[in-house]
Amino acid sequence: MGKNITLSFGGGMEILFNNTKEREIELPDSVVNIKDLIAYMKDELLQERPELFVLNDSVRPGIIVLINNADWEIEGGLEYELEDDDEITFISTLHGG
Amino acid sequence: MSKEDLDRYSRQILMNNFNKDSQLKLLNTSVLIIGAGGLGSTAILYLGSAGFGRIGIVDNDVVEETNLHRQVIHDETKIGLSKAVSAQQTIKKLNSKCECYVYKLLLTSENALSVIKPYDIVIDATDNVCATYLINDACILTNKILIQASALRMEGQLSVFNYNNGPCYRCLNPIPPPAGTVTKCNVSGVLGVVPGIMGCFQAVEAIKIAAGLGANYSQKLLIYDAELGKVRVVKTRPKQENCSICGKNPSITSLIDYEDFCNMKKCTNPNMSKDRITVEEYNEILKVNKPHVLIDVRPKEAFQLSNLPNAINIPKLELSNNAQKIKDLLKKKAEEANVSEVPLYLICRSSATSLNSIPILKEQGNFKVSYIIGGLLEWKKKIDPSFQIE
Ligand SMILES: [Zn+2]
Repeated sequence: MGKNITLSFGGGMEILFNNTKEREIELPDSVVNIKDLIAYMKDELLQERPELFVLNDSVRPGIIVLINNADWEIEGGLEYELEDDDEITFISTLHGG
Repeated sequence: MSKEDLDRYSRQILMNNFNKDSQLKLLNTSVLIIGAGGLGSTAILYLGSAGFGRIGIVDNDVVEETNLHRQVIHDETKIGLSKAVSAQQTIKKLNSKCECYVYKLLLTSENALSVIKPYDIVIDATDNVCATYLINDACILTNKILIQASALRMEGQLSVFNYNNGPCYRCLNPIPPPAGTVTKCNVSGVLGVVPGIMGCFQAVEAIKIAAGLGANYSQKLLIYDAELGKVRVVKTRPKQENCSICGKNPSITSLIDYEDFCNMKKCTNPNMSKDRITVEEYNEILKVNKPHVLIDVRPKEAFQLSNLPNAINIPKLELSNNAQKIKDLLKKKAEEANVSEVPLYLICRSSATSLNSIPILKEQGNFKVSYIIGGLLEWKKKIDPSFQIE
């Protein structure tokens, strides 16, 4: 059985994903790490304009990725292996004031 | 410390982890706030009242009516006035002892280092990505602590950089976002109080750093979402050895061209962009009868009082809804003149509104659009003294 994780969005990323800031999903077995997750989200969940989400098999610059509320860089980045109940967050950096 | 100061700051000094010495440290610390907008308004108000010895305010904009819902350091009487000067006036009334300097300029690669150098702490309260990279790099080169925040819609973000060997903005964001992915308050909107809250957080950080109590958000990112009522404080990566400005072998050793770096040739300096013409140039266009479309983006009431004879009135807030109408107008003009396309010019009272209208139009299509520098005030001054405008 696939893993269940929570996806959360912010900074405008939610607009690309059904305008929902939080959702739980069950992943297919083929999705093992964050790299797989990004590809899966692009193919199955993204509503429009993939260039606002992905660039060269990763997220585009300007998106903060959090793995259980920590910067994905300190958790292994694209190679991090997803576990049940993980919360993966995609937040666009804001530029306004 | 004087008796007067002891009294004035007594409620702050009463706290058991903030004493007379802490207050003295504030008096001996200087903070530079870059941007007197939504973030800067509350940051400046609290820093001015907290007892800092010296603050500096950098802003090149003038106060507009559409700013007032969030830029609470300004008020209706300040519309048209420099934001830096307006903020300074408020601080002088609030705390006459706080030395408050203003820089009515746009921070650029040429002036950033000299503006930042005399200050201990820098607050980035700007609204665009180029300025954020410029300020980050300038703070690394001058070794200043940077408190960076931003806000859009109902969300805010904040982090402290270059503090106690912590990361810088570039460590977290080595590559700027692609130009087309960034939106601003004048396009996406912003709930007024949200930048205010983030500006308050910036003030807390500055006070804690100055008083020696330590920053809360170094190597941490505060993410506030007023829609969900959620505050996240997340741990970020440490200082990166391969960072191009604060790393071991930095490739950036002096300030660069940030518009080029961010692929946005017009985002930090509107005066350098080609999206503008002078009133003299526009007068010439009229004289030679060069085909074009002129849109006056002021509110209807203002337009009805006085306008240029060939101007069409579409207020700024109605531009995106009328994008198709504008496209049709341009097409019709081009057909009449038998050319492939005609330019679109925007005018308003002082050019602040028309400048801010350009990104709205660009969101809606590939408009060849410029604004008229200085607007109708400049038109009255340089071309037609009889033109009715205040
Ligand atoms: Zn760095």
